[in-house]
Amino acid sequence: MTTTIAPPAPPASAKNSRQSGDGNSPPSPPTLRGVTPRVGATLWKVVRVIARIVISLALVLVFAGPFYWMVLTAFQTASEALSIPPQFWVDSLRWDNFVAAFDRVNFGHFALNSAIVTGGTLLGQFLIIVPAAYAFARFQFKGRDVLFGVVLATMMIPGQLIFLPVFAMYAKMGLLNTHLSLILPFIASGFGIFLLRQTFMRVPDSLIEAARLDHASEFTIIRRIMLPLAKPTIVTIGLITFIGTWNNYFFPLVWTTTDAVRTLPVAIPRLEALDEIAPTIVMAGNMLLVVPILIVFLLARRHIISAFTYTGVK
Amino acid sequence: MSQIELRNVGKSYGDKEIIPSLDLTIEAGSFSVLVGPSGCGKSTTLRMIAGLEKPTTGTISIGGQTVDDVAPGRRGVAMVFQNYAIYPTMTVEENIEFGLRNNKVPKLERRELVHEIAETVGLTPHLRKNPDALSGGERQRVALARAMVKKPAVFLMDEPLSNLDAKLRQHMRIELIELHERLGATFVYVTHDQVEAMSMGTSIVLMDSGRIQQQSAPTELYAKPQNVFTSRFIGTPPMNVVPIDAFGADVAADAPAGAEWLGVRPERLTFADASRPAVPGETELTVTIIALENLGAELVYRAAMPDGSRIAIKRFDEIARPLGDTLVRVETNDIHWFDANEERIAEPAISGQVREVVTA
Repeated sequence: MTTTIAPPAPPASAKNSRQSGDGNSPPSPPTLRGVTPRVGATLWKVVRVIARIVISLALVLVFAGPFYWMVLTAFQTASEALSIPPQFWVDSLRWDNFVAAFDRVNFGHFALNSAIVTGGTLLGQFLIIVPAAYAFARFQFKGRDVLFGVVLATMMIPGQLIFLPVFAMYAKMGLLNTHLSLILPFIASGFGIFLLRQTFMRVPDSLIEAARLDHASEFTIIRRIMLPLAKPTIVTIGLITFIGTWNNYFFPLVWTTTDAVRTLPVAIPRLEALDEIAPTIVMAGNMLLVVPILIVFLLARRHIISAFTYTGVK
Repeated sequence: MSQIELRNVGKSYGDKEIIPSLDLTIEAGSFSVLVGPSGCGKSTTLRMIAGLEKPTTGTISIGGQTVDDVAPGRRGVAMVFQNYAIYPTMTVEENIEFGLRNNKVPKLERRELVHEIAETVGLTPHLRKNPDALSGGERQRVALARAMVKKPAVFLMDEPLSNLDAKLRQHMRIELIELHERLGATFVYVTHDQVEAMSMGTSIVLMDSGRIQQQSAPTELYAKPQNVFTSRFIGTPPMNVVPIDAFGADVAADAPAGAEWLGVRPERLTFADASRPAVPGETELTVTIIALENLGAELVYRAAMPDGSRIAIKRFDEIARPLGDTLVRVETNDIHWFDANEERIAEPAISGQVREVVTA
C-alpha cells in the first residue's frame, strides 16, 4: 500500500524547485522534508568524525602509551620514575641508564649472540624457504600436495609441546649451548614456505616459459625473475622472522644451560633481578632491545605493505 | 631454414584428449598460420613445438632433428607470447639480452646484437627503461626483439597481436610480414582470427577439435574448402551451405554423385539483371530479403529461400535493395559440393589433383 503512495511525492517536489527558478510560479519555500535530512546528514557526519578521532586517540594511547612510558622511564632518574603523581616528561636526556644497563649484564656478549642467532636464522630460512616454495609452486611431483600439507601442519605444533624432546635430542647430539641449536629448528618455516609459494604461484606461467625458451636454468629463473618479483614477500617473511627471533625469550632460555649462547631477551630481565628498584635501567635495556626492530621495520615498511597488496604482474 | 615435422603427435591431459593424432609438416621458410576456433588445439600444437608441452604420443622434429628430448632453450626456436611475457624485473635491454646471456654469448657481442636489434625494431630510446614504462605496442616490440636477437630458425607466435588495438594490429601485421620476408625464417603463427590468417600466412593450417581440417595456401583455402567446416570458417559472412535442392531442381540435377550439400559464397550470388537474361550455367531463384547490414563498402543481405534455409548475399552496390522478394542468380561454376560427411566432392574438371581427405 505505502509503495503506491510514496513514489509520486519526490518528483512533485523536485519539479517545484525547478520551476521556482524560471519565475512562472512563486518560489516555494523549502519544505521541511527537503531540509531535515540535510541537517541530519551534517550532524551525523560531525558525530562520525568525532567518533573516529576519539577511537583513534584511544588506539594510539593503547599502543603507543606503553612505548612512550618505556622511552620516558629509560631517560628518567629512579626518583623521577617512581614519583607520585607520575611525571610524563623529562627535562634533559640522560644516558646513564643505558650505560648502567650495559655494565650490569654482559650486554655486548648477549647482543652478539642475538645477532648471530637472528642472522643465522634469517640466512638459513632464506636458503630453505626459497627452493622449497619454488618447488611447491612450480613443479609437479609425486606426493607434492601431501608434503605441502605436512609443511602447513608444522605451523600448528606449539613449540612449548616439543621443547623438551628437542632439548633431549640436542643433549644427545652434543648441540647444547651452540648457536646452531637456536637456529636449526626455525629455518624451515612453514609459514614462510606457504607465503612465498603463494607469491610464486601468482607469477604468470608465460614468464617462466619465456625464460625456459631463453635457455635459462632453474637457478637463473629463481634469481633473475622469481626473487625480484617476490621481494616484498621475502622482506615481510624476513621481518617477521627477525622480530620473532630477536625477541625470542623462551627457547634461548630453555635450550641452553649456560650463558655461552644466550641472547638479549634472556639477559634483559636480569637487570631487574640485580636491583629491585631500577625500572629505569630495565627500560633502558628494553629500549636497546627494541631499537633494532624499529630500524628494520622502518626500512622494510614499504615492502610489507606491497607484500599484502601485491596483485601480480601486468 | 628449418622444416618442422609432427608425426602422430597426440596430447591428452589426463582423460581429456586435446589432440588425437596430428601429422603436420611446416615447410622451412614458410609463414604458417595455425588457425581455428578456441580449444581446437592450435596453441597446444605450438607449445609442443616450443617444448613447453610434452606430446603424449608421437614425435616432433625441427630441421630434421628429433627434438622430443631437447629442452625448449636448445631447440633453436623463439616464441612471442600473447601477453608478451616481458620480464618485469629487467630493463628493456636486459630483456633482450637475457637469452644471449644464458647462451654464454660474450658481453661485447651481446651488446652489439642488442643494439642492432633495438635499432631494427625502433627501441633504441627505450633500452634503459623498465617494461612497465612502455606502451602496448612498445612491449610487443620488446617481445619481438627478444625473439629476433637469438636469430632462431623458427619463430613461434601465440596470438601476438590480440592485445593490440585494431589500428596497431593492422600495422604490426604488415611489419610481421616484412620481418618474415627479411629473415627468411620459419614462422609458426597461432591465431583465431581468420583475417589475420588469410592476410599473413603463406600456408594456413585450419584446425578443429585437435584435427587438421585443411592445410593449404590462403587462396586455395578460400577457393577450394575441403569440407563444410573450412568453407564456413573462412570468409565473412561464411559460405552459404544448404541442401542441394534448395536452389531448385535444375541445380540439384547438376550435382555430382553423392552430393548432399551445396555451398556458395555470399559474394558469388548476384541479383538478377533484367537487361541481361540468364545464360546457361546460371540459375535464377526468388528469395525473400529479410534483413540488411550496411558495412559501408559492402552490403550484406540476409535472405530466406523457398525451402526455408537462410542465406547471406554480399554485394558492393551503392544502393541498397528494399526488403522483400527478389530474384537472385547463381552460377553453377561457383557452387561447391559436399557429400553426406560434409567433405568436398572434387570437381571432375580438376581431375588428377590429389586430394587429401581429412575426416572430420
